[in-house]
Amino acid sequence: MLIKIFSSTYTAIILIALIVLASAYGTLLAPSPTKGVATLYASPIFSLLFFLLAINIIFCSLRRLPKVLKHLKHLSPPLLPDYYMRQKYSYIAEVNPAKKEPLLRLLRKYLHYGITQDGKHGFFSQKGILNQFGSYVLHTGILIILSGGLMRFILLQTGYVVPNARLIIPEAQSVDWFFVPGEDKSKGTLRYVRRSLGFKVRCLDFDEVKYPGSDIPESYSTTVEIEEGGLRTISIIDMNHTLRWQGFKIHQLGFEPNDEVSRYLVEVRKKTNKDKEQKVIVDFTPGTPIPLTPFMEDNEGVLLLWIKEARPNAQWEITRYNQKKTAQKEIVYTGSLLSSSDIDSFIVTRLVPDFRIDEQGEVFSATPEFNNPAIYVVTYKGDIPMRGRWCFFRKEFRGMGTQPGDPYAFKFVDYHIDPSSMRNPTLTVEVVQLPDERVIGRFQLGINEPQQIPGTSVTEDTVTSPGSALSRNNPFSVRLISTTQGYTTILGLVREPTTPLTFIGGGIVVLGAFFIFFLRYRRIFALYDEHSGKLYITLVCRNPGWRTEQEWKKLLNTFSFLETK
Amino acid sequence: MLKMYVNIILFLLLIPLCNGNVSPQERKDAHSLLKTGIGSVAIQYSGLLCTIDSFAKSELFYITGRKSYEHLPATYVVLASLYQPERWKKEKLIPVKFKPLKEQLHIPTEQKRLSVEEIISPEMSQQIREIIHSSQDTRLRKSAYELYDRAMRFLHLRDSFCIIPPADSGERKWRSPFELESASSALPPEIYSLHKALQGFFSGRIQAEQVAPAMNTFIDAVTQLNPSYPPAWRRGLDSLYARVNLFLLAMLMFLLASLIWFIYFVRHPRLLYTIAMGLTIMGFIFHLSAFIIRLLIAGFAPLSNMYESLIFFTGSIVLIALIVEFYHPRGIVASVAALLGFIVLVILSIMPPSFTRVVPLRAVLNSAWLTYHVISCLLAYAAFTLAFIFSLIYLVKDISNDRILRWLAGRSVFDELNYRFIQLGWPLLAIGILTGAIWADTAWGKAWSWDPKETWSLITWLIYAGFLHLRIIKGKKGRITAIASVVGFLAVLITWFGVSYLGIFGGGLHTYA
Repeated sequence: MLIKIFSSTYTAIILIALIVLASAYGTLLAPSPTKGVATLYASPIFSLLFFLLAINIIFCSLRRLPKVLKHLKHLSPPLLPDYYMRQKYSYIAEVNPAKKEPLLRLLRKYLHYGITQDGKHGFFSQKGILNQFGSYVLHTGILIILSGGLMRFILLQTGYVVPNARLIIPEAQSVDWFFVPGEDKSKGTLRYVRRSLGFKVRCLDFDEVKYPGSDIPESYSTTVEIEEGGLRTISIIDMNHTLRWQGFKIHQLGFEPNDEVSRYLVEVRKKTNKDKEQKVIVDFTPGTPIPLTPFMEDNEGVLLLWIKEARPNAQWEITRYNQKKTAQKEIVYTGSLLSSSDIDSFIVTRLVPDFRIDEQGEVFSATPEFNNPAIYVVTYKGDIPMRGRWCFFRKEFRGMGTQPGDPYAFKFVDYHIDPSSMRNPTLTVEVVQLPDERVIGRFQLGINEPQQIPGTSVTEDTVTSPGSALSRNNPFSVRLISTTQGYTTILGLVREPTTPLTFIGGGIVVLGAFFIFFLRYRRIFALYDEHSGKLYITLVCRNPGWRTEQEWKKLLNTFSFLETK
Repeated sequence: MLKMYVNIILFLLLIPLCNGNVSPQERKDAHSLLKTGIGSVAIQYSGLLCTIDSFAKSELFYITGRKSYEHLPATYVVLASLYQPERWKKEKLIPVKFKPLKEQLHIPTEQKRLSVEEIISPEMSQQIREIIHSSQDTRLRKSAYELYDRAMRFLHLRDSFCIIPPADSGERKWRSPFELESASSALPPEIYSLHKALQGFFSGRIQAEQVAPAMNTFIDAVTQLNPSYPPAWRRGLDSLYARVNLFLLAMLMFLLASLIWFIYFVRHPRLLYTIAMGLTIMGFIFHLSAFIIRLLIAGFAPLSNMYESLIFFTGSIVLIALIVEFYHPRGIVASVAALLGFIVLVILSIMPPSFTRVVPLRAVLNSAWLTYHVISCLLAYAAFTLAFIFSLIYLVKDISNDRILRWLAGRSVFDELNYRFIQLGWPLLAIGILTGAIWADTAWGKAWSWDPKETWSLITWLIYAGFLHLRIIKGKKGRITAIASVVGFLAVLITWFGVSYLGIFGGGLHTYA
């Protein structure tokens, strides 16, 4: 009974209908990792449907296979003329006995298999045999895909499959772990599980290229350095090109500008004897000490620049290594090269309609609705970003984001969004001078539009750090020339070991479909009866089409010389 | 739709009556200027290199909502706005339709357009800003924003007029002569020859004929400055594409073909078959030419948005029909294809230029797999659409017992055609899904993500798989398979349009599709 159910085509149709309904329902659910779509498609019941379909395919195929094989093996041409006369494509001709031999030669040439019995010569040929196996090829492909799915389901339970992880790396920083979205069952909320990667990925550079004269992105790419077992490899990950490493596939998922700095351009001066001065301009990324040899080598040792944080107003450390005294180091300066009070402009870099912050500190919009709009304001000194802060539209949150010592507070007082799209928001921001809270301006601006703060100006001096502040006795001075906006690259991380099975299975499905629909299985029978002198030819095709007609006409043309009799 | 065509007819009838502020001499001057080939000068616009003709067509529509103004071609109007801004600020260019907005701005109800000068006047601009920032009415805010945005677009035309390529190979941004002139750059004087000639022309100092040599000098100078300046053939194609609507010609051919096919089915004269086939082929040739020109000017297969996919889809239907007709000349498939081609092209013809113009390929779509994936999916959709039409005809004939559409062939023909086209579409959709999976693996590291578009394509494939099982294994024919085909086509519609536009499906990776 069970075998009968599983080997029925109707069972297949019912299972297909159930899969269709479940899949359609899944598309109506939100793509949250904790509920809805991800849970539905990863659920055991959904997998069970595919498993049953696989069983059904196996049973159906096995049940029909002997019949197909028997049919293909049955190569004997019918020797009764009645059979030929019943067929759709049938040709009967009387043959001149003088033409008997050329006719038989011709029949042997076109129809490879023949028998002779009681003066009757039967010939047989079958073409497009692969068509008969097309269904088996196609269903084998489906079984391979389903087995891949089943293996994936098992490996997902063991944690080997990593479906949807993220690497979030600010420029010039490295990580050796990744986040996997998961469910906090006690709270029913989203949480990120941090897992070890097994190697270290450092973001050397993130690059966004836009088409000139437009905001349309042409490419995004991240240059990463992978460190594993003491070996370092530099690779580029960009859109449509994943990086494959240790079974993981790393791809470019997104990016965010941050208020950090990816590159500094610094001028270092050294006073030499006789009050002469030498200078060098150094381009470097934060987190990497820059030895200034040979230029900055003096009797005392080598000067090193070092910034722990990627912020212009962060703590800088300038150290002198004394090589002569077994690498003894002397810190010649620690402190900021810029004062945070010297800002002269600001830019709103981001607008979030419904501000939320997740457990990892990442800001996201909970909904597209403007329930709790917030903007990210970055203050600048010249071209150098100083500090970023979130400013909220809701009055109860408007005081947030200001730190002690800030010269100004920014109040997000109004917004207007083009209703037809989310483009071109117009934001109204009020700038308040601290500590007396005097409103010095109310500005309407868009995203990434710089706004000068009235009463400030950019001069060479305001962006120059006091070189003499390093120390009284050392001959060096350092000046910050410019900084480059930093980005945080967001990389997707996936480990799907069963993907090759999907591709192999998919390819076989396409091949099987080609056999079924583009090859036509047909049998050609011919009978020459010596006694009656008649030739019977027929073409038998289960599913004839226009090509069958063409073939039949061609066949008749071949034997048309008989008509001349 | 009907209203639009009635408007077109009225518009054509009223040509001699509506002169506005445009004198006959100006029309003549405009004609003379365009004869110099000024429209085929290259420009960098929205990230692509195109011609002044394309730029003007798009900008004028954005500002005025029309493809021409007072019968002056877009290229002339936009150039005049660039070089005579004070005069054109006074022209009533910008449409204002929303009645509540007119009331708020104290504009008479019968007035349909405003000038830029009126919009940017201190009183009106203040009122518009107040509406944008304070009104609770979304439609009012949107209309006010649109009005203001159109005026701003006009005022920023000079910034967009980037016709001078960079000399430095590392620089990619082209510059406007207005910007370079004020920045006193060190470019050779020939670079400004066209700019100065246009200044002279619009101030009445020189004739249109004198613009042509200046333009040639300019093109020689910019080609010397930047050898990758678009060659004449490419500029010519872009200009042709902007000025001559080949899709419109294809649409007319398909309309005529559909009418003649109808007469052929009723009367059956052989001559009409030949004429209808000829018109269908002509329509296909126009359509294919427009598609190839778009491909050449974009530099990539135009399959990256809904407009381009519908263009390819229309061509696919007609191509499939012509192939079938070649082997099996019955006229049924070709007639349905011509009618479908006409309907889809009418829909496309009413789309605004912002949807139809060539835009650069987004980063995520910049992959060779885009071509394979989209082509196979669209060919499959074309086959399924034909199957759907034939299943509908079958059902109509079946339910009415052949009383309706009696002049068409018997029911069994449509049953067979339904099956044949699904037989064609099903493997093509399998290829589409497979190539999409390979692309997803290269882009997102994952072949399958249960994204709504992916899932619905699988659902479509499974529904048609059910159809094929019913037909091949169970030998079912007729009404049940026709209904299965209709259900399958509904799944095609959801996959193609529903997922992107219905808004009831969860987010996904195919938001651009």
